[in-house]
Amino acid sequence: MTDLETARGRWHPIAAAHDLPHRHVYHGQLLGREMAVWRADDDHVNVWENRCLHRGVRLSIGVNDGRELKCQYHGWRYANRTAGCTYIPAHPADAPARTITNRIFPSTERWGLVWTALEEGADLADVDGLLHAKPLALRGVTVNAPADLVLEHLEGHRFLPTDALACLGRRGAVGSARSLPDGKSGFFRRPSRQARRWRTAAIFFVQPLDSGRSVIRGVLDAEPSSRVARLSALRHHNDRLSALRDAAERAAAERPAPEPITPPLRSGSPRTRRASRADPFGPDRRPAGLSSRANGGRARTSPASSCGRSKACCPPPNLAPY
Amino acid sequence: MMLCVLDDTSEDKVITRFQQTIFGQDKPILENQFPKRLPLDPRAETPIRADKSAIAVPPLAVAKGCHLRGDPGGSLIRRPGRWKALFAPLEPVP
Repeated sequence: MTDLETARGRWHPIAAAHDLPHRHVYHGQLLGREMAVWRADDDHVNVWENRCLHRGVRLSIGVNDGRELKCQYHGWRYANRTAGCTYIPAHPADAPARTITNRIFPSTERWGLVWTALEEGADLADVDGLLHAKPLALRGVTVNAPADLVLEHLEGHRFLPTDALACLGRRGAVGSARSLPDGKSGFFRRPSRQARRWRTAAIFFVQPLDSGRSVIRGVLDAEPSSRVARLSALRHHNDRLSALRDAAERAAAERPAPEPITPPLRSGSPRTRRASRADPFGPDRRPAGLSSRANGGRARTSPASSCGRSKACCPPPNLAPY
Repeated sequence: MMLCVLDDTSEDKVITRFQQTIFGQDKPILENQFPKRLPLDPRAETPIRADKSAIAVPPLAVAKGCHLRGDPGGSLIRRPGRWKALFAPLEPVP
């Protein structure tokens, strides 16, 4: 059984590389937490918490301009790699405080998949059979079933080798499957005698979206030689995985639905959270009316003159519709 | 959906169209805000000086007892959208 608690410290695929076309923002999810995944023009893949720090709008509906991600609501901009806020259009003259930094997750790209982990930990381990290959990532298949149930069904998964598919459906051998105990499943097809020259290794990774949903992300060990072979391989695996999904969902419907994971609602990155909790604006740019903890949970709405600070700190409120 | 608007000069059609423009622009934003209801924890979001009126709401809601039972961070308050824009005067009809 896959323990979702230990899954937090491990690496998981969150998207396929072909899910991130030029200047796109992909909506990913891992263990109940939504993530905005986007590729900058310098080819760095960013995996961020999918909330704008300002008003909680999903960043996956934002605009990727190649260097920064712009929120769709008030146009806050977040920098590539650091996720620090670079520009707040409501205050064009002020540089945003360094504490306004979105939460980032480690990311790496391997075997045609984008990988991330909820907690910084060990590096992504290599998988036998994919070390020196130029792999082909299959379409991610979303299943309404817990990850451990999907792993159980993947135990008996069968498919035909890619080259056998190209030979007009000549029947290849079925292989036996092997499951690795760490939540990543490795499935290696072993050809039988009559199909010895056809061999395709596929590895299926299960990405837990939530306690009751998961995505099967398969990787073939080699890119098929021709376009026709590639298409038939993708179709074949799509058919096989769709059948597996139906079986897994039927089995999941008979079980009681697991409790959904509700990640804590926290703003900012772990590094800056302590600072932002004390004072989200830094010592010198704290607006009046934001000291809700200091005066008993009641925000001060007093005019700027009573603030006792400089005029630059408390300009007259401009309450025009945004 | 129509809000009450006191406007003697514009036609109904113009007012409706204006309101639908505003709601149409707000809908994708409101549907993508998380959490769905206004969080009452002041640390959940990052208000700036321009949000002075908005940050006055959560303490009022706490005082009025509008928080969810068992979830002090969640409230019963819907996200407001740009309802203030609907009360702004329309452009005069040429």
